[in-house]
Amino acid sequence: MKRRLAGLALLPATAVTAGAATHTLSVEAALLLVAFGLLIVLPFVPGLIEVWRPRDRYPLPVDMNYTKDPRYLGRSARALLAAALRDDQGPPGRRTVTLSKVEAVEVHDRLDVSAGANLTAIQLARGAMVVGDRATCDRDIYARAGARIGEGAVLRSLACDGRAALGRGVTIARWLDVEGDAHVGPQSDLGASAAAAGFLELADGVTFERLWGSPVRTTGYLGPRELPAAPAPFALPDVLEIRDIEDLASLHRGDLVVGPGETFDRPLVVKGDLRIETDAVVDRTVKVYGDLTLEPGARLLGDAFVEGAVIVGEGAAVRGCVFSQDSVELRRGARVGTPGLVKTVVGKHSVTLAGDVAVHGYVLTDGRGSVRCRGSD
Amino acid sequence: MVVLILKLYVLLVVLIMAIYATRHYRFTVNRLVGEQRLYYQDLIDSELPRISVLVPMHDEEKVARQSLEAILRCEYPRELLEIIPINDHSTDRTAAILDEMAAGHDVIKPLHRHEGQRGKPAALNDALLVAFADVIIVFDADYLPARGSLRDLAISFKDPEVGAVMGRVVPVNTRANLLTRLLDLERSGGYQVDQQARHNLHLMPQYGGTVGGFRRDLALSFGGFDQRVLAEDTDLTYRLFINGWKVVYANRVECFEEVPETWEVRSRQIRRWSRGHNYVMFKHFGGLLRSPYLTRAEKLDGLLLLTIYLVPVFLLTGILDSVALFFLGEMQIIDSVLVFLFVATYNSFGNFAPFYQIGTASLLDGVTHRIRLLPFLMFYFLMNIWTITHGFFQALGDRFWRRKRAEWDKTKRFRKEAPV
Repeated sequence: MKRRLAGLALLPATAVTAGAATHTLSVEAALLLVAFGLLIVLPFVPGLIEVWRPRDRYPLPVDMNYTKDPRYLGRSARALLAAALRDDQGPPGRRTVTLSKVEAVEVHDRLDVSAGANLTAIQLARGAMVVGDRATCDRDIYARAGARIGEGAVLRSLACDGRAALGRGVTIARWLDVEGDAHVGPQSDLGASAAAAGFLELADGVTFERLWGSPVRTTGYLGPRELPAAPAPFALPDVLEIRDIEDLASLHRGDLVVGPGETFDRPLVVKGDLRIETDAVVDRTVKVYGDLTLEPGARLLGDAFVEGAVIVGEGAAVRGCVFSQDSVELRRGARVGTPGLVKTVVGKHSVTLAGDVAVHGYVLTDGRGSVRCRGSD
Repeated sequence: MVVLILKLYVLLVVLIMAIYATRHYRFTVNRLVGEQRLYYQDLIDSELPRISVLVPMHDEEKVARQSLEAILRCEYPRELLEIIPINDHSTDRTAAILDEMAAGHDVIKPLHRHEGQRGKPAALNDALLVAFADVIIVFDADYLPARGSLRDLAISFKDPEVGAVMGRVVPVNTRANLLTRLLDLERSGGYQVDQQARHNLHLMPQYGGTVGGFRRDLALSFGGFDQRVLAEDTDLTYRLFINGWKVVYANRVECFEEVPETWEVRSRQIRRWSRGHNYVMFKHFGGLLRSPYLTRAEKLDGLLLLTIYLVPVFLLTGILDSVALFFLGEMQIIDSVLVFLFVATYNSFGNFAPFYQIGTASLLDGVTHRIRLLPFLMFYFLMNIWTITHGFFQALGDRFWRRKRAEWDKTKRFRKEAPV
């Protein structure tokens, strides 16, 4: 044992006397033990400090009031501003309020922003609002009546209680929320969210992430289109002897083409691509592992859950939701949903809308959303 | 010959550890840089399914009212909703609390059980027979769902292939002591990384029996929940996958739960899980491999998930094996690096994967100071080796003696006041 420890000594074993060697060895052994002990204890030290003086002992934050609301940003901003101003009926002018931080609010009976102006405070118009071409505002704007935004204006966010018209090339950095109808001019960028209680009409070249409207529609919209009678929503058969998936949903391995006249009495799961041919009708929900293509005039009366890309061809229609883990392209004349029902289009990587497209409800993408009225159709 | 077998067994254990290490590494990388599949929470649809919310309760007077009030606060069309709290042989004030709540809210329809077998599977089976909806949502009695939880869970059943859905469980009593903080870390890794990665990779996310839901008709078609099984959630997961259905994971659907505050209670809980899970392993091992609906990747993941409560048994026996080899003077033949490897592998990357999954989960959750506690998981890990092994042998006994029923060991509650 001593020989082995000597081998670990910094000094050559032959260079020390027997007594000195014993002393050196015991010191070395002690040092070794201390070092070993430190290596064992050291990883626990930060944890012991955290136990003794906790800095992170609270539960992960869960928002107990969270619900999905596409108009949350606009509603919340209005509520915050209303609470801060407490029904202020005073004369127009500048106020200082505390929102998430201390902010200046400029109150107007009617707001006319001249072309090229640069606004740095929150703007509240009790009446209508007109923002001139190329004007900018790096704080929220709230109009309690209609709003007209000039070409090339750059706004942080806009809430409007009447109708809104955005000119060509307007940029909304964060969100747009309109109580009435909204027209969005060509080449505009709608930021993270754009919502309208009425219709939300988008011109060519508009880019977006989230849209909400009744309906969301694109330039050239020709009105709602009749769909064949829909199946009862979400009806599972009242059969308790079911044993496997083929009793509740038809499972098809590989690609599938559905022609006119073919019908399904249960939801359809396709492990490849699914193509619904021109004028064919699928009256149930489909789950597709590949791509889904609705040829021109095809109808899908249920929902579409798709791992690949979705193309809804010219004049084709989906009564239910369209959910794609890849991309969604709605070509000229395509319809999703029907008036009076709320449905959703989700395309994880992109959503592309052509002219005369309508979605009754919600459109969302984590990637790029765009309107292409020319070229793609 | 015996020595050779012992050496081969050590090598087998090392191999098993390496496989699990690879699996956890794959999951972690996926969560950090891989493609993330969307869940259905962003779907807004005015046509929602009818749902029955089941809340099994046995002596839950400390938590029953808060739990039901939280469910009542949830946004869901009232005409499509019923809440069935199941009073399962309670001897405290649970029954009275449920009746009081029902008197004030039409949607609450208590089910009082005083006969038959006690336990969650039996309670759920009775409730399935009276539930009015096609979609069943389940919460344990100590759970506090957020307002959007019911909608976000129910919407997944629009997908015709979804047989069950699972949300994320978040411990609420983390401030209680070191154990609750360690359980919080473990939960984070298990949900934020492990479950989400399996969802992303088209593998087998697990239905966890609470903060989740399933199709009523499917559960009934399987003959209801197997009352011999203490892990009825894992049992349902495998029945669904083997028969061609999917389980989806909803990371955004977060729900507070109370975790055990004493090591004794936690030990009993994990022993019950181990017993139930290993019973399910015996039950579904063959069916999983034979299922015509599963891909190879799903089968492999299903196998690794199915045997996850077997791993500590392997590890414990592997350690005993290596000790035997040491005293037999045979360790010099086995490279000691290997022995180190299987211990270190499990500690670092294995079943509880503290430095991969939990660290990554903390990073994704945006909480950093709590990762200082990671080394303390070693003590928790040592407890788990013993209790899980104990549970395994209980499951073996259940299987061998063909027990028709298993005693349900209720987890003790610690709540003294409303946590949120």
